[in-house]
Amino acid sequence: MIVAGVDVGSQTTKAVILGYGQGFGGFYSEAMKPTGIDVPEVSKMVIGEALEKVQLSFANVDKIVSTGYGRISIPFSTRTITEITCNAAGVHQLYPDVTLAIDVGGQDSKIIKMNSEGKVLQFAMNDKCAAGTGKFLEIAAQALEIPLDDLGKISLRSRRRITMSSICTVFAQTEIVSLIARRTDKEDIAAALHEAVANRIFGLINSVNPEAKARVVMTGGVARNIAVVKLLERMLGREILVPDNPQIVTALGAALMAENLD
Amino acid sequence: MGEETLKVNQRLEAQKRLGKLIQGHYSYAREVEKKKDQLIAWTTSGAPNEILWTMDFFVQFPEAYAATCGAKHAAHAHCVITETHGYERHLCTYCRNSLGSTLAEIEGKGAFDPLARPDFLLVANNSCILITKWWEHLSHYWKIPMINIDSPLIVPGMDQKEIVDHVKRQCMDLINFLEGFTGKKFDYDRLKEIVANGKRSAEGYREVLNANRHDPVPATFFDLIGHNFPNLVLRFKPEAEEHYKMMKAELEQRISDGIVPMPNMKYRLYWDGVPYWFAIRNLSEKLQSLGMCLVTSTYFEVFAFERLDPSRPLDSVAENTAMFYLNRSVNYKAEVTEKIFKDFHLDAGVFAYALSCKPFSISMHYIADTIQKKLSAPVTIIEGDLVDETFYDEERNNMKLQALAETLAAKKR
Repeated sequence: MIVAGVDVGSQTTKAVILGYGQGFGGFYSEAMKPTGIDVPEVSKMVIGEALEKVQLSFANVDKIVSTGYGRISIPFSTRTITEITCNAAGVHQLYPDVTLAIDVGGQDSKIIKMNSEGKVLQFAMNDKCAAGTGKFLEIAAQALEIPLDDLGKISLRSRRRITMSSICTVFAQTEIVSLIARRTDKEDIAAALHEAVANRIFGLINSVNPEAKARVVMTGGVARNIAVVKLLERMLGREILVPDNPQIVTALGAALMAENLD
Repeated sequence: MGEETLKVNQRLEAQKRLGKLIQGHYSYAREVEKKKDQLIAWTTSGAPNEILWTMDFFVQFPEAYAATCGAKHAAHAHCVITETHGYERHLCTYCRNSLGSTLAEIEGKGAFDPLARPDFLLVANNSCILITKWWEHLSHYWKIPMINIDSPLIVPGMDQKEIVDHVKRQCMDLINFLEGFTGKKFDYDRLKEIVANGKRSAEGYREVLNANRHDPVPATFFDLIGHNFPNLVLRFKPEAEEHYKMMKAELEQRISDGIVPMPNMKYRLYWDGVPYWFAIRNLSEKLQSLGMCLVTSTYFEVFAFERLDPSRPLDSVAENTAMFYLNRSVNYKAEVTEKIFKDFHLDAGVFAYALSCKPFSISMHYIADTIQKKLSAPVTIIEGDLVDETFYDEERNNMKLQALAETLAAKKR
């Protein structure tokens, strides 16, 4: 059987193909692309690209589960399942002993508390505000004229602690401009921005009452940001596991869910 | 009763009767406004309104009007009028709706189905920290007097009797003021009669709400919310009690006939907060599609008025005001919520955060947290803003509801 999971995020669309049985053996393939405005088309392209890597085509796929904010816009999906459930499935597959997942993408932050079987017990999402998400860091990186991938590393070089007075994505931009005008080091501004993001995420983590010794994993694009991970590790007082490709975990979960559809 | 023997009938007969009661109330308001043979008061839900009814005021509720405007998608236009007069967007949307409709009427622009123009304003600060200021602005625009009943928050350690006495003293001041304002003597026998009607209405209201303890429920939360109206607006008349009696009989009949309000009821849910009035249909359809039935809510407690007692009329009116649900501590609210979860056998909770309603929303996280910790029931916090549709993100809320359904499904497996 060949199954696909496609996770349509606000910034990136990810796909995972899983195949097993009937002479296929077992195989895995993944692909990612910026989401853009045509969700059905980009989803098709991403799944197509992942299939191409294993010399297959759309016609070979038995089931597709779509997830992410664009999940309902995909006409060819067999079923839509939320990114909460899919992320938990993906995390459990990679780290069976993890019971707390932090998934921070372009637009959403999600905290998922699971049991030892990977079933969701409780979840929380950020409110309707981009502060505490990837978008906030992206806008901040633009204002600081630093490549997004370097933002976390640069912030770790901060030597002076400053506090952002606003964590509104729009007003933070203005504040960054005035801090630069006052010759504040970019490293210090970046560190303050990361602290604001981490504080938001930490508040959400607490809202699901995580177990004191829960093993924690972080997924989503923001998990690539070393500074956010380190700050959260400090706040939680424990190590946070980050998979090799943290952005693909929810799509992997979607594929696993597709495999188990009734 | 087995799933296969249940019959789905979404429409309650009580809805038709409720429609007539509401229509009758507002048609009568038009007549009063035209004939000017009765004074009109605008008041808040937690105020000692039995005093107004005893003084023969025709009583209207701007909060209930805001809910109607929200449900009819008319509130946004009122809110915009308020904002163009310089009021900020972060003010309560009920307040913005009310000031906007008032300004539209005063400036001759016409509001959506406006309330009859008031002669007097009564407010109690037991429901909200902003409401006195909201009423102050109404008083300013209508150029009419207002009286505020101060009802301190009931928190542990406070002397409740002292608070009730404090409210009672103000009720007596209100009576003195109204005697001067109307030129009429306050009739304590009439008060007793009105309080007796209110008590019977409140008892009937509670019985109707309790019908949903049954599994499967005879009605959903959405079917019941409109039925706050008789206990809020008409409890001084025997019609309110009559309505609940008939409604209770109908709900009991539905239970014995195996009639349910929706198909495929898999999970029993709690609702916390004020409904997003403009989104009721969407939410109802979404929840139904996920097999989730909203069973009950502490929102109903706001309209319970169970302290009324004709054997001590004025004292009980003061007590009813002081002990108003929204005036209680967050611990009390969490305890009531926990009890409701147990009594109604609820599986999960939907907490409806309202952006501009801080008094309601500030307790929400604590209550949700209590439910998670004590009952291990999953909860989700969705977002909206009472009657302002512009803040509502349907897809985002739908995603949270779907995730809640998936969580419950996984729990059952």
